[in-house]
Amino acid sequence: MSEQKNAGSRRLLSMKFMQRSMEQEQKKQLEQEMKKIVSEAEWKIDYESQQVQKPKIRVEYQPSYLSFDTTPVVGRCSFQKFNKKIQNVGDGPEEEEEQPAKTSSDTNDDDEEEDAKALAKSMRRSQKDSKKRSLESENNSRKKSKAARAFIKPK
Amino acid sequence: MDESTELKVVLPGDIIPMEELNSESTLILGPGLRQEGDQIVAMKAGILMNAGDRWWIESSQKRYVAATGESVLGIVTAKMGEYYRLDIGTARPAILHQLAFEGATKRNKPNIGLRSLVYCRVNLANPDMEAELDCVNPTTSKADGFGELKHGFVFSCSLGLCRRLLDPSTAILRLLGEHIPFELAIGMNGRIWINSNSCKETILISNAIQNSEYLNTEQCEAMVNSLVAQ
Repeated sequence: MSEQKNAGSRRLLSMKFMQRSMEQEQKKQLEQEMKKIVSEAEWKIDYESQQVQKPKIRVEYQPSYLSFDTTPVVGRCSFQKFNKKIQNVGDGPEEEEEQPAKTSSDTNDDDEEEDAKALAKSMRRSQKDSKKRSLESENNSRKKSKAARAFIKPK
Repeated sequence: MDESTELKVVLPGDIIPMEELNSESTLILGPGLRQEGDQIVAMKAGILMNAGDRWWIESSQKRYVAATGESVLGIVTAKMGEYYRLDIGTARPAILHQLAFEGATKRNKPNIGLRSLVYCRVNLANPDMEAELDCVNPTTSKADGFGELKHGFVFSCSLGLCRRLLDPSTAILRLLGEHIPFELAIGMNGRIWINSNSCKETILISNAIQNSEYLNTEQCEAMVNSLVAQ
């Protein structure tokens, strides 16, 4: 019986409907093989064992040194009233009017005590070098000082 | 400022021992420290400082990295549209809006030319972006010393020296100010601007400031006196 089946199958097989079904089976097999290959190529890592745990210490970053310095000082200052606008930045009480003979040395955050000390010091100095004093008084006027300063800024 | 009596010098990679803190309190880490896993590790070489929960490393370097709120000295390199582009020593140039000045309106813009010096404040700084600057004090919304600086002389120094000059307890500026009238602007990017009446005084001041980096108060005084006597 099987031989009879086989003998007739050659002609049968060449028929289109038989070939169609055979192609479908082949397709199915191919797909299965592809699936196998793909699934074997995909690796899955077991993440549960390597989950990053939240650190015990909570930390906040501050990138600037400013938040760690106690005294915030403005970086612009002027000494001996070189620049009146800057001298008055941060000063509370109004300072005395400037006399060319007695200049007081000041920084932004000085108290009045230091003013008095500096005045005394400058008075002592003024007795010693009057020449320097007169030079200073001349140079305090902007026009002269502009002419004297002819700097080429570096870089 | 530091509560420890002895100075602790750390190198990059050193693990900082911390006592067990309860989970509610946050640890504030300043420049030079980083958390890796459960440990705090030093990234820079320097002196470890702490004040309560705040820890940081005092180190000196020359390369500046922009951080919000710092005052810097910038040089205008380009004028583009509504912004000035300034070089402040960081990897990327920073931008300064033309209206970020006191009393500036669209019709009344400041006229700052190329290659001019501007003392400004870092408004916004990210590690990946260009820093944004402005020339206004945020609390008072007035200039307060920010803006274009004319004449004078700029020199560069280390960042540690600039920070120390901002501290009023540093003697060198006060000592110089007693002898010579001058004005200065300290940029936290390692640049200092000086303006005084003559070339000689300016050079004297800049040399004195640069030399004073590693001197204590008495040595500073002696140096200033010897310089002024010349």
